[in-house]
Amino acid sequence: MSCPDWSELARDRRCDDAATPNEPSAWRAAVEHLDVCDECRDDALAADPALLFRRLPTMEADAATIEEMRSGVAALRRAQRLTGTVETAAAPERGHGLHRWWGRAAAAAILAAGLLGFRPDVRDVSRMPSETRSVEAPVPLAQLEASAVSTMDEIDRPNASVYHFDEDDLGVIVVVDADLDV
Amino acid sequence: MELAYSAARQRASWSERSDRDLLDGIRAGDEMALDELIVRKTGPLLQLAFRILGDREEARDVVQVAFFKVWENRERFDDRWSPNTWIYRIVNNLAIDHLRSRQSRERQAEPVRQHLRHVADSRSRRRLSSLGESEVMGIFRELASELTEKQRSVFILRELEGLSSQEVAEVVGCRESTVRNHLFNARRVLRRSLLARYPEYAGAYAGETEAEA
Repeated sequence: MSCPDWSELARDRRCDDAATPNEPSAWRAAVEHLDVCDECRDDALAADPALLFRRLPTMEADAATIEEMRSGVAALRRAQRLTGTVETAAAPERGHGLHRWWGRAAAAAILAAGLLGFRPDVRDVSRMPSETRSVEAPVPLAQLEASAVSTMDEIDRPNASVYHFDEDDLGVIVVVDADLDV
Repeated sequence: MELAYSAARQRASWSERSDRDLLDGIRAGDEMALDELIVRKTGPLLQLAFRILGDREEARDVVQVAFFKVWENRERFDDRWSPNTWIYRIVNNLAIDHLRSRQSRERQAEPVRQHLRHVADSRSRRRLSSLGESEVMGIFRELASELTEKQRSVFILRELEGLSSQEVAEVVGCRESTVRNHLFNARRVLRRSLLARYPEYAGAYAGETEAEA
C-alpha cells in the first residue's frame, strides 16, 4: 500500500468521530500502514498527533514469561489454601505485596528444613487445618501419626503449626508460629 | 509415569478447545484449563496492563493477580459474557486500582517531577516522529494522567488494542454511545496536550482543533 493522504483521511474521520461505532475501513488500513511505514509518519502526526501513541512499546510474552506467570498463579493459589486469604490489592509499593508473602514463606521453609533435618514425610497431621489435609500427598496416616510425636518434640514449640505440601516435584514444609522471632 | 502421560494428554486436549470451553473447565475446577488460559491470554493481558500502567513489573503483578481472581471467582462467571471481555474487565479494574494507589503516592513528588519535566523539555526539542518507544511511553504516562479513568481505559482498549466499541463497553461497564464519547474526549485531551508541548504541529492541525472545540 502506498502512503495515504493523511490530512484528507483525518478530516473525514473527525466529521463522524463521535457518531460511528467503528472506524472507517480506510482509516484502519492507513493506521496499519503507519505501523510499518516510517515515510509518512510526519504527515500522519501532523494530521492527528494522537497517532503518536500507536508507537507505544509492546510487551511480548515468551515461553519463560508464561511459565513464570503459571507458577506465580499456582503459588498464589497455594498461599490461599494455606492461609485462607491472599493480599492481592494494589500494593503500596511496587510488587511488595506478593514478594512479602514469598519472603515469609521462604524464611519459614528454610527454618522448617533446619529444624526437621528436612524429613518431608514426618509431620503432625492432627495439628493441621482440615483444608490442608485434603491436599496432602498420599502417605499413610498411621505412619505419620507414629512419627509425629518425636518430630514435634524436636521442635518443642507448643504454638507451632506444620504444613506440608507436595505438588509435582516440589515439596514444601512451612512452620507457622506467631511466637517465632525470625 | 502413567499420571504424567495422561496429564500431558489432558493438557494437550485443552489447547484445542475454545475460550468458552476453558472457562467452563475452570468453573468445574479443572486446573489444567486454567493453565491453558494462562498460556493463551498472558500476552494480550500483559500488553493491556502495561499500556495502562506504563510499567512492566507492575503489569506482571496485575496480570498474575487477575488470573488468580479468575480462579477464585470462577463460579461467578456469567455465560452471557464473552470470556475475553470478562478477563479484560478484571485486568482493567485491577490496573486502574493499581494506578490510583500509585497516583496517590506520586502526588507527593509532583513538584520534583514538574522540575524534571521542565529540564527535559528544554534539553530536547525533537520532532514527535523521531521519538523512541520509551520516550513515547513517557509522554503517554504523563498526558494520560489528564484523562479520567474511563477515558484512559477506552482510549487504550479501542484505539490501541483494537477492541470493538461493544467489547469496550462491556469491559468498562458503560453504554456503547458513552464509549464513543469517552474516546472522542480522550483523543481531544491528548491532542491538545501534545500540541501544547509540540506547537510546531499546530500549524497543520489548528483549523481542525477549532472545529472540534
